[in-house]
Amino acid sequence: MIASNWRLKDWTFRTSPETWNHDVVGLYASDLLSNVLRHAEAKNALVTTLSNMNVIAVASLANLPLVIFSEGKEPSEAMIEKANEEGVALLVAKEDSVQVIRALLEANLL
Amino acid sequence: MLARKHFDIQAGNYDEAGKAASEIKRTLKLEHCSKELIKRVSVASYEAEINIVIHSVGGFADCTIDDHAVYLQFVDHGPGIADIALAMTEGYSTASDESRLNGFGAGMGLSNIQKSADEMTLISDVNGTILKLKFHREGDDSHDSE
Repeated sequence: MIASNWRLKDWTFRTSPETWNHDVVGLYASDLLSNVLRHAEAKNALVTTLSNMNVIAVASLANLPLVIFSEGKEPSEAMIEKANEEGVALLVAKEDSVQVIRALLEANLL
Repeated sequence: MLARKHFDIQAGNYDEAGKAASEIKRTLKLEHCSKELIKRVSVASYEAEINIVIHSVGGFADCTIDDHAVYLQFVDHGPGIADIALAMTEGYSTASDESRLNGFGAGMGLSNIQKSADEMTLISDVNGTILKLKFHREGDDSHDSE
């Protein structure tokens, strides 16, 4: 499933359309980057309330093609620029992480 | 020896954190390491780099790759790890509130490193810490063909 299919409700991409074309398979949710590194699998989407440069670095290192920022957490311009460079799609959702995951389940994306 | 890289790591610079790990990953890709090996090295190198950013006054990393293994060395200039056994315990962390806000401080770093590497040596006193890691490449071909 490509990343653009994961845009539900009024969630909005912050990165360029080139980043939306990557395959996304499965999901991992955490606000602790060590756990993301250890447990997320390549091609997973990441749901997190963390919004800083380290999230982009970890997504890139762990081959995570999509990050969904829950609770309306906005990535900075520097984060968006880095994500565009690394080919990581960034989505912003105003719902909390549980609601994001529920929406993805109801849309049969998980 | 196929490749050798050196990276300086700044203390407290969260925005730049991960650059060395990212460059190490790129180098391994160029050397045609297996995905499984790249994943293990990426986890360990990111955690080790973050440790220097969060806990030390600054340091550097060296990466050497030959036909048999990937060797990483992370060195910082203090203040050292007071109790290594405690620091290795999952969930134990001395990370600051600032680093916790950045998503660190889970107390999983050294444990993640140990589980990722095939060999690990950690030496520390008040003058600094040296972390040496070795990752075997024997599995490269079989992993690639899986």
